[in-house]
Amino acid sequence: MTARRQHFRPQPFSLLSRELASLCITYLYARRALSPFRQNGPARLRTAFCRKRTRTKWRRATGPTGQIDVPNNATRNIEEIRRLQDCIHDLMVVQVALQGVRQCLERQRPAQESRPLPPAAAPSVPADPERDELALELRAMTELHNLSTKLLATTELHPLLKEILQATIALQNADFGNIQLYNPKIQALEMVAHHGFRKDFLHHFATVTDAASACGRALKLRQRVIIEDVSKDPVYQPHRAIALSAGYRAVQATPLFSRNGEILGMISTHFRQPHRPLDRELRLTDLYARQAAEIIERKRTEEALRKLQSELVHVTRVTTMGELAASIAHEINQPLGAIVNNGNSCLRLLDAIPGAPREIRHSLSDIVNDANRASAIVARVRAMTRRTPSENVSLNLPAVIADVLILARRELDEHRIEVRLALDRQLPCVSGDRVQLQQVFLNLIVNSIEAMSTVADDRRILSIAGEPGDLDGRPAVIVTVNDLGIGLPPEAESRLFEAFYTTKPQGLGMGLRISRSIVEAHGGWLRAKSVSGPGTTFSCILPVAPPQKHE
Amino acid sequence: MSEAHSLITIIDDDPSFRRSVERLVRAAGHKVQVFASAVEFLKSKHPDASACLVLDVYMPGLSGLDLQKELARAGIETPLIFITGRGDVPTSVQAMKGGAIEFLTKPFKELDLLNAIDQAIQRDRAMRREKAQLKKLRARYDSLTPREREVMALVVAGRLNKQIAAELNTVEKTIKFHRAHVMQKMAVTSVAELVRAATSLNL
Repeated sequence: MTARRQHFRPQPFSLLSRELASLCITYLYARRALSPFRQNGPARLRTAFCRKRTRTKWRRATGPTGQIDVPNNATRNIEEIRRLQDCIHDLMVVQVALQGVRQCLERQRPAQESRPLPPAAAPSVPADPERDELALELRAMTELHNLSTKLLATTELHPLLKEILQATIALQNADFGNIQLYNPKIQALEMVAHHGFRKDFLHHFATVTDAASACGRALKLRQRVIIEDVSKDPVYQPHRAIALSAGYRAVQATPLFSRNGEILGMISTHFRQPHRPLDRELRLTDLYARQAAEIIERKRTEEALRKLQSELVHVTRVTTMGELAASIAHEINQPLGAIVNNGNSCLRLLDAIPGAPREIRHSLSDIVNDANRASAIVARVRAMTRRTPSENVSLNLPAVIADVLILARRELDEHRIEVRLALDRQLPCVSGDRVQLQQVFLNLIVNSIEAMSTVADDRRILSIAGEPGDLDGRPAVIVTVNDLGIGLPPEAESRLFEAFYTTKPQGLGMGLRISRSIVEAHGGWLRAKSVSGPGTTFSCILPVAPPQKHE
Repeated sequence: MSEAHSLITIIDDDPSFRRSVERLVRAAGHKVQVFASAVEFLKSKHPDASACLVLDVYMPGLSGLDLQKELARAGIETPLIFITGRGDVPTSVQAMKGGAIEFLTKPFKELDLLNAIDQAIQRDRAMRREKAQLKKLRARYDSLTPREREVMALVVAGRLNKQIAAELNTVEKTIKFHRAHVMQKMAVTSVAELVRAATSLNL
């Protein structure tokens, strides 16, 4: 305090208070100037800071150009928000200083009043409009300071929005109020906090898209809308009845903007009598609106960050699986190679033993063949994790599917599933990788078997049909796999082909994703269709092979 | 088709696979020695004794490709056959550029390996023959006296006896004498053969 006293010369109170008020207001405007619009703040804003500390903090917050750069990623957003919080802290500093100055001033004044701090709104001394102004500004600033403290402390969105709403209502002496958030997906305002309203109003204004209401209008015009008397405003006509029943005659709606000018929501206040808020009230409302916008934006940034993190985890898992597949392939090829060599050695040595039973030779041949087959599958899996078809030959789909049915024979029999085939043997050939396509059909068949595991025995029917079709004007083959099982839950339809999405308790969730990748790599598509009646149908379309290579 | 006394060396860090290759190659009639690592092989008594090396690419310590470089540096030209559990293109290109006979992925068809081994044996035999020839030639050349070497150089250059005599400051008769000795010691019957011998020796 001592330092400041040095600056003050005995001045008429009103002049001094005007200086202080102007400092306060200038600071508030400067505070608003922390918007990302690249306007050059008037030089007087910067020179208005008579305190070095404040200036330093301002400079630190705004950088060398005196403006805050528009952040373009989540981390920097949070940085900026922290810097802004610093500035809010400065407000507090100024406010405390103002309080001190006020104390000092009061001591200078003749002992007319002995009001304790903080100053009350209604003075018991002859009204001095400027002093009252200052008092009210101070109260609003105290509120703002309290709010900013809370902002630093909590991270919960709704309690904070409620606080801001209450503060705004108190500031404007309003009767009701609400805060809405803008939902870009449906392009509408959704109410998230409200005060004083009854159910029918809440229901009516739960989601706002129209341009007749105050908030709808403010949304469209991207600026504050004040309706002094709803009964006299022609555009408000559709909502007049609800306004009357809710009990308000005037309403103002202030939009909440993000750092880059996007509308985040709306804060509105309502009055029982026709009313227009004062400029001072609106100015301070803007401050509160700024707070609310910051809180909302911070929440959104945190959400986005969390979403990115979880996506990263997903991608890491998938990449890891690719890596895993590669190293498994390598490890498996060693023993497989050894099996093949040992088998071949035996076959050779067998040649030197006349009269050896033929069965030995056959067994050894089978061993070698199976080991080679296993190795081929491993190679395909590895190639698939590289997402390129490793072979491109002309395939007869009915034969491919027949092989798959042999593989699945045991499962089909165990679950007593009847298979009905409608595959025309004259179906044109498709070109691609045999083992990969077998994987796709095997996946679909296994899914069908599981879907029908709880269905009555006589209704376990798996139908596979194939017919010619066309894909963007080129000849193609359509294969449908249909089961009469439990079908898909409604939310599954859109998420079915996502990685790691599964309806099975032990499911990995990769089968359909991989199947779709394979089919798409072959130039076709794979879809799930819901049919009338129980069950699911998957249809897979593959382009017909150009008449060149043959298997 | 296969020579029973050619030595095949197998290097692989996987014991089971190593045994299986040993069995296969032995069953095909070759003599086999095995090592678990490239370093062990290099430390062995006669690393240049084998007709063919069958080795894995990815091994702890010295890899197959590293060994290829080491052998080249040491001047050991044994033909190499690579086998690997991972078949990636860049490695195979590098191996073949370094002079390998073949690059196989596990599991391989036995005939692929055995044919490659036969090819390697052929190449090795041809190489050894050449080396032996060269050695003999060198020995013969070393047995020439300095004067005889001079004469040989000029004969190979195409000079007539008269010219050689003039250049070496002696008479034609002496030159004829030396020339006869050169032909005899170098075991050639014509000047053309002598020239070929000289070229082989890089004179």
